[in-house]
Amino acid sequence: MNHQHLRPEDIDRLIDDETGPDARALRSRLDECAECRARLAAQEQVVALLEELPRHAPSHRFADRVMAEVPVFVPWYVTAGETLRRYTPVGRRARLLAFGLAATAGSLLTMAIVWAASRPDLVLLGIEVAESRTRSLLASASAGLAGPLFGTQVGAATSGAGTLGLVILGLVILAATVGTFWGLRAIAAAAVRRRT
Amino acid sequence: MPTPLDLTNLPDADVVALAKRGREAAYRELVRRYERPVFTIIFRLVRDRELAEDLAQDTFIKVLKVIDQYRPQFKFSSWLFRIAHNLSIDHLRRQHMETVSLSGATTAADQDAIAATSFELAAGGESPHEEVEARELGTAIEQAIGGLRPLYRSCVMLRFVEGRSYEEIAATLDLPLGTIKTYIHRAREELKDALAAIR
Repeated sequence: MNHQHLRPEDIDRLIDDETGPDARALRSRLDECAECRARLAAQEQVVALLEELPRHAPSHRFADRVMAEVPVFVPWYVTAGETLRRYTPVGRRARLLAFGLAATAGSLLTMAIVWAASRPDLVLLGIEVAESRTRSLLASASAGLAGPLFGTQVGAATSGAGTLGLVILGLVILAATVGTFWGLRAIAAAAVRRRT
Repeated sequence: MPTPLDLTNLPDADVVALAKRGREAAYRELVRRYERPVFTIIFRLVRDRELAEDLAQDTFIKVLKVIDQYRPQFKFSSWLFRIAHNLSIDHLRRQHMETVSLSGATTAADQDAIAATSFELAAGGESPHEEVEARELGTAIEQAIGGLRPLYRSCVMLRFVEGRSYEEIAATLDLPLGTIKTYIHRAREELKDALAAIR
């Protein structure tokens, strides 16, 4: 009898339990050949042993150790959404009221911006008045501060120097503050070193 | 926020989407789902429990740190197994441990360590002779697997232990489908010959 043994790929198809007319034809050929049946049985035994291999698990705190090394990244839009949700009322009526108030505030702000854009001269005048008032307030405050700290002459010079004087005085006060902070910190660190 | 039960029933793609939105529970769910298969694959490649746990941990850390870059057109499991496989192979290459020919971990220093890292299959409900034969076959298959080259070992583990399809294995190992089928066929032939030699 002119029998053609199963090819390796035929064995693979039977191992994979393929169905269909081709697979059925392969299975019928098995009935005719003990050698083919033996080859298939040997492969099936290997597969059975592999499928029976035990699965292993890591230690029970594995997930905790992984998470300790993984920073959970929250995208900005998720944070923004959650913040918005936190401050959004829960009830339907409350939400409608909040929406109405927000829409009103948004409309008023839009109208104010449109009005300001249509009246640039008034806006500039307002800015100048605010700046002048702020400068005079700062000048009187700095004269009141510089006088007791550095003497009345310094105080008078500061209030007369205008914006530049204010800036210089501000920088001096800032430098003094920072220097004091670092000095105190250095003294404290030295004290700790001496104790240890 | 979804309850843990909801996460359990969600497909991988949805859990990953939640993880990308910063849900720590989603991160933990991904670890819970795949810690055993990842650990099993790595363990069978490196044959050392402590090392396998370190490599498995590195795998998850590597994946979860870049979870925001994951693209859903690829299977998450394939990506994860690929990184596990690559980390294991890199380690084996650094250690020049391409095949394992002895029972137990190659780093086992004494009999206790060898016994702790050797494999045993407990056979239930069999006669003593059958149990001995099963134990010998179980140990034999473990030794035979250890004798396979790492790529063949990964293929058979993914196919017959984790039940992955040929297509998924091809995607995981970044190899053509025909190559995967060839490797699995050759691996089975080598295991068959190794088992026949032992009997």
